Amino acid sequence: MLKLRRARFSNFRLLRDVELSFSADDKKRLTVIRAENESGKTTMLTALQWAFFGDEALDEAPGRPTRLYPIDWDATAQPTVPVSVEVEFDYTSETTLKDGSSVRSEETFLIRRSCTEHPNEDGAGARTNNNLMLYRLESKGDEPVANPKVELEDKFPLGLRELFFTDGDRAQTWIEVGTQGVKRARVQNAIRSLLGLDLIEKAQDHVKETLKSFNRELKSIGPNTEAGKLGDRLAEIEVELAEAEKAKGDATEALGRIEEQIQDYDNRIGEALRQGDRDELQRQVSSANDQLKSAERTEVQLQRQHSDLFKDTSLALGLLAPHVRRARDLLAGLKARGTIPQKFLPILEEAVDQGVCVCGTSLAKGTPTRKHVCDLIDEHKKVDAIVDRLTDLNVLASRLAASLDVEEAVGWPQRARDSFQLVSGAQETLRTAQERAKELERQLEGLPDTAVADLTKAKKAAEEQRKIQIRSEREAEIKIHTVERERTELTKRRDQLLRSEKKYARLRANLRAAEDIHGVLALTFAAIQQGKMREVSEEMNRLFLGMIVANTEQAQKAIIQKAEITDDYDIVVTGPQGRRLDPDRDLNGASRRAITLSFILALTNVSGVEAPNVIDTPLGMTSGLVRQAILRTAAENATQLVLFLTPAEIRDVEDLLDEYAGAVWTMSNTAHYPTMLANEPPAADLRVVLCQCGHREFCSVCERAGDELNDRLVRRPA
Amino acid sequence: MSYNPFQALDLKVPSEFHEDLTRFSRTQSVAGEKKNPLDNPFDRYVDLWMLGVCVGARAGRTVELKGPASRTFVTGVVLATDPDRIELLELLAVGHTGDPYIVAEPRRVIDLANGFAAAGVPSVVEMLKDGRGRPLWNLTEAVLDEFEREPEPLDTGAAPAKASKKK
Repeated sequence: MLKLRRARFSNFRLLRDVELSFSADDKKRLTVIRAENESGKTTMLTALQWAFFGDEALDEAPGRPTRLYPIDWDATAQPTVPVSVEVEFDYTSETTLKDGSSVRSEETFLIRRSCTEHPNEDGAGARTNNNLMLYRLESKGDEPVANPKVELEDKFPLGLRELFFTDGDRAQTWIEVGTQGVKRARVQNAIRSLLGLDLIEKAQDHVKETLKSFNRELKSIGPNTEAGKLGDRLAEIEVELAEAEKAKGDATEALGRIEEQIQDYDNRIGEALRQGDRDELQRQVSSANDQLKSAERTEVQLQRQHSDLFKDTSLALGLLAPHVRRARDLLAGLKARGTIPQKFLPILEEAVDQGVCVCGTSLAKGTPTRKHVCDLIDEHKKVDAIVDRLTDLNVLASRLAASLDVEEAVGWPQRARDSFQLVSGAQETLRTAQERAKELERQLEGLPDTAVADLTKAKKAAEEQRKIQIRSEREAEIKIHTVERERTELTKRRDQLLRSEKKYARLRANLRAAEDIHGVLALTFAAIQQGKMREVSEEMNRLFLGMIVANTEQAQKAIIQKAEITDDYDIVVTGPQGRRLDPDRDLNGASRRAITLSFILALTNVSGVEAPNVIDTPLGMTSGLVRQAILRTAAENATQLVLFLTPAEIRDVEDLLDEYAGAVWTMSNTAHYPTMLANEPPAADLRVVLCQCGHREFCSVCERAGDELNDRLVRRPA
Repeated sequence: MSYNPFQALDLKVPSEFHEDLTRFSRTQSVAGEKKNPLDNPFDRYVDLWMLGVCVGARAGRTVELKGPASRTFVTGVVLATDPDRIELLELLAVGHTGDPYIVAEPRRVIDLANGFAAAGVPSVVEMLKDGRGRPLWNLTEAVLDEFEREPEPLDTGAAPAKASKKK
């Protein structure tokens, strides 16, 4: 399950400096971001997608990057713009074995995607330094995750983007824009992605990407141009290396200072707590921390022991049991026939030593018979090593096959299950220790000793600084390694270019073969896909009717009776007597929006993929009971719901927002002063400003100028 | 020196899965990289390869890889650290071919193992990725399922054991 916790935007269009948190409360799963038109709703939706999926989420035309930096950026004062988006999210997974034992993994990650934009006169600009970092947030510090792109793709595949990040206005295009073929493809692609059947498409993309890369490689073998480019890049690399090494040195130095500070705070806190009746609490804190560390060590140790099972001989032996038993039988056959062990050679050697053959013939020195027997001995010695090995293997195979009969009862599978249960138990112990340590920490913080409270606060701040410096140090190390590797690769590139043409032709043939295989697999998967599609269709119908039946007028007339997905991936709506309705002509805007949202929610429900639904203007073109039914259905069926709503959309659903919303934010655009905003904004430039006003409130930041909506709101206390 | 007839021979995996070798093992590929048993269940590349050999052999599947389709990740020297594996690879070859004298031809034994690995490593990678848990737990669940499945029967109708011993 993926759940958003927090996001921070920096210089992403008008989101110059905005940070907000999302409701992670299971009972109040809805986060509302209230904003008038042109106040950053779609920008924030795009920015969140960019954080997860990168430039592919920007839907840019090839070779024409869109602008990410703020439109009024003063390029004369600062010619480059650092753009970044950070998203913190929880990722929970659980593995349960058939015996019922389970291990739950709860992790918190931080994505940080950044780039540098270079504004130019036409308002666009080049984008460089694209960078993606993914951190696993742990109590002892943030750990950068290797292969962040692959990890993110595993947790949140690109194919799911449009389903989980939905623009309400664009959402209607699912059923009303494009040719029939285009609409079918949208539905089909969504079903494939959510059901995990897009692996084949990925394989196909992989093949295409490989082809592209070879094409690029081939084109790059231009005379005299490549060497110059390589030289420029190598010069840049030297500068980048020096900068990264300096950054690493600075971070290491800062870390040393911070560690000393933390130690000093610890000493001073310990000293303060040793006075009076706080001694006991100090001992308990110390003991709980020891227990926590011990539980953490035990869990890590058990995980490592468990992973060691995968290099254990018993695993290979268990899996190869049929081969080992057959080898045992074959080798035993050789022994039964007397082929092993070697018996002949010692007899001949003894005969030569004694000078008489077993048949009584003389083997005296210099005789032709002795020479013949010696030649025979030499010849057999050559195969002696093999016979020795077969003899050893025979003994070994007998022993292993015998142990297999015992091992099958108590072998690797049982050891794996036992180990799994030990980890499961250790997790429980760790959770208890964490709760105990947290409780004592809370007690410690509650002590009316300002000195201790201040020191604890200062220590926490220093620990935060330590995390930041550790991250900086790691980033610099990774940068150094990456740049050094690039330098090494560039020096090899010329030789590779010379070989590339031949290699390209060969690989292209391979890739064509792979594409053919892909085609065959796609047909097989289509059959599986259609079965799941029926489930989606039924769930969509249930949700859709729930949304529009609330409109009593329509229910009485029963114009719409059913919505379904056909075998051809068409979404169709039928009226009385099974007559098919034309969505463009027979459905109003609210119903068109409802059917799209129903489809999206149905897909997520059937797939079992638990991830947030982030929807921009979902309630536009709706009103009254239909609007309420859409909101209620979405709030009750989504794992986590983030809605961007205009004040007009909030009308009629205030009570539902009271019930479902765990967090509400309001965004305003400074450009709207003085025409629409009543008060002068805190910043002079164009930007989105955020306030914590709920859907029934306003403040000096978001107060509207002469807007009748103000009459329905109350001023939020400062 | 311990017995290792494979020390000069290459251990290979399909090229497209080489990245997975680094991803799922604790051998460092990037300076400063921290790895853990939950996401990187294998100690070394060879551990993943060996499991791939076993899974491929148990399923009776082998794939012949040539040229750029295969990638050498280490030589057989690494097997010396775990002599049990040398013995098991020889017994696997004997059991599969029905020819005990195959042990006299280490290259054939390793070619056979590389062929099983080429078929088995993709399955192991799928086991690691397929599931909602961290890779170590996904793998545990999948390997336990593998033990519950009947192995593919060996082809005993092939040529019987005959001495191909070199004279």
